[in-house]
Amino acid sequence: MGAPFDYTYIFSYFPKLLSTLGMTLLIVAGSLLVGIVVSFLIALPRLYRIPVLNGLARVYVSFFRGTPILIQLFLFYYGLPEILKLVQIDMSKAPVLVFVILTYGLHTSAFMSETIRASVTAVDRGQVEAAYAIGMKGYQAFSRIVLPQALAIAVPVFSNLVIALLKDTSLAFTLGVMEMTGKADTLGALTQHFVEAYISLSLIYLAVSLTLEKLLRIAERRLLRHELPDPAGQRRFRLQRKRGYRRLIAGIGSGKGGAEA
Amino acid sequence: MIKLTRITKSFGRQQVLKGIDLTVQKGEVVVILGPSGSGKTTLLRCVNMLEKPNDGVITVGDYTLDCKRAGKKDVYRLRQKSAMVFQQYNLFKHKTALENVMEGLVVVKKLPKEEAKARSIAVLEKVGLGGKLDAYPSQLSGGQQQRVGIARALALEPEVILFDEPTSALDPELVGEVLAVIRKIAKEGITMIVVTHEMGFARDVANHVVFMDGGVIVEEGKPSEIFNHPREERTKQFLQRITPELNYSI
Repeated sequence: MGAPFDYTYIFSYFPKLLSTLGMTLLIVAGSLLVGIVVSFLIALPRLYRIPVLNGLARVYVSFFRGTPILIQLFLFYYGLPEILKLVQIDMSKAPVLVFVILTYGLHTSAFMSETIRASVTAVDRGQVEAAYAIGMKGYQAFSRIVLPQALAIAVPVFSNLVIALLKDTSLAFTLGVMEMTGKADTLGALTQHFVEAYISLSLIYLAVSLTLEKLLRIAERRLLRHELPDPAGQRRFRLQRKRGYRRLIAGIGSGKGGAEA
Repeated sequence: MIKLTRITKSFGRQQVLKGIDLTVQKGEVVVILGPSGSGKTTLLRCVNMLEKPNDGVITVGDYTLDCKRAGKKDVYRLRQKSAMVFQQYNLFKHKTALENVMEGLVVVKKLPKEEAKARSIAVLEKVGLGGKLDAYPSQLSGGQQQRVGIARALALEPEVILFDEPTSALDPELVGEVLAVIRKIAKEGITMIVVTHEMGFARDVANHVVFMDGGVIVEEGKPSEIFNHPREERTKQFLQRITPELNYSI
């Protein structure tokens, strides 16, 4: 394929690719924002077992988890304007980016809502009872006692989701958004040095992933600071020491689903 | 004063409380004894509506609530009259000892932070944990955690503190320090309802002992009467099986 391999191209592509990193990060950030808001809206009816909404949330999660992200992109980009046309809303002028962020946001929200659900369920029931016993109201107990603990449990899984999202955004170029993968593709086509472009691209993705992972690890440390200082005498295995993991494993797939408030 | 009238509670088809009447005077220490499954913990949890009774009337201090008609707001008001100490401590895991005690004062009682802090420190010193203000529950021993739990209840200055088997989850060597704290606050005239299996404690500290079995109060009275001259056959059986002296004399 194309011109003979020349490693100098790898370096010369860096600045060019980095110029589109902003677009990639914009998609990630926008989708996360949409994702976090929607995932709470999806998780709450499931946690509190609100009839009808609970069922709808379940269908929603199944759809977004069960179909490929690429197909979802196409469905939203080509399908949504058609549906909205029926109710007299013209989407033909809307920028592609809107569809991309919406699709990734909804996609990631399906996974996040399950994480939230599992994490909230993993918080000990006694914590809520203690909050009620000192006279707290339902929302106070949830926001002050349950949520902070659930977040700490959720961070490791959440961090995986963010990195998966970062890599998934590489598919946005199929709709013509000029983010990093799209740029690499174009550069390759221009110079015929495809492999160098993809190597350069991979290195940047890797660097960004590692940075995100580090940042989220710091966040996890902060949120779990109440569990970290283990007396030297009772050091356990690493995985066991992370109570978050243990509780999450206990919470996932148990089919209990939700606080019985 | 706490007054429970005709409290009934069922889980599914099983009736756990079959119409309980109980009155606790101000400053009294009431100990509830009984075999497991007798409904004593459920009764205690009904006083602050962690379990909602199917029927009955609950009075705590100056507030009376009819269980059948109670809405959310009524439940919140009732809960502010009491505080609870749990078997599993249930300290807020993401908060320090001091924050655990302050939480209710700031969020529920709406005290200014400084005042809440001062009061919380004073109470933690009273339970002997003045040096552990900034420790998280995971850094404390079971006995220390339970003492923070007691401080958290005490700081709210409730009409009554409900103790749900406060020493059952503790290592035997840590039971003493927790009982000592409970004894100390009992002497200060704080009203308490205690569910426990510590017979020695019941005998020493209680003003009034209630023996429950099968969802009803079988017998109640002064500790000396219940322990030395139980009237009911069922009470005698229970005490014989549980009193340590008898267990060890083979």
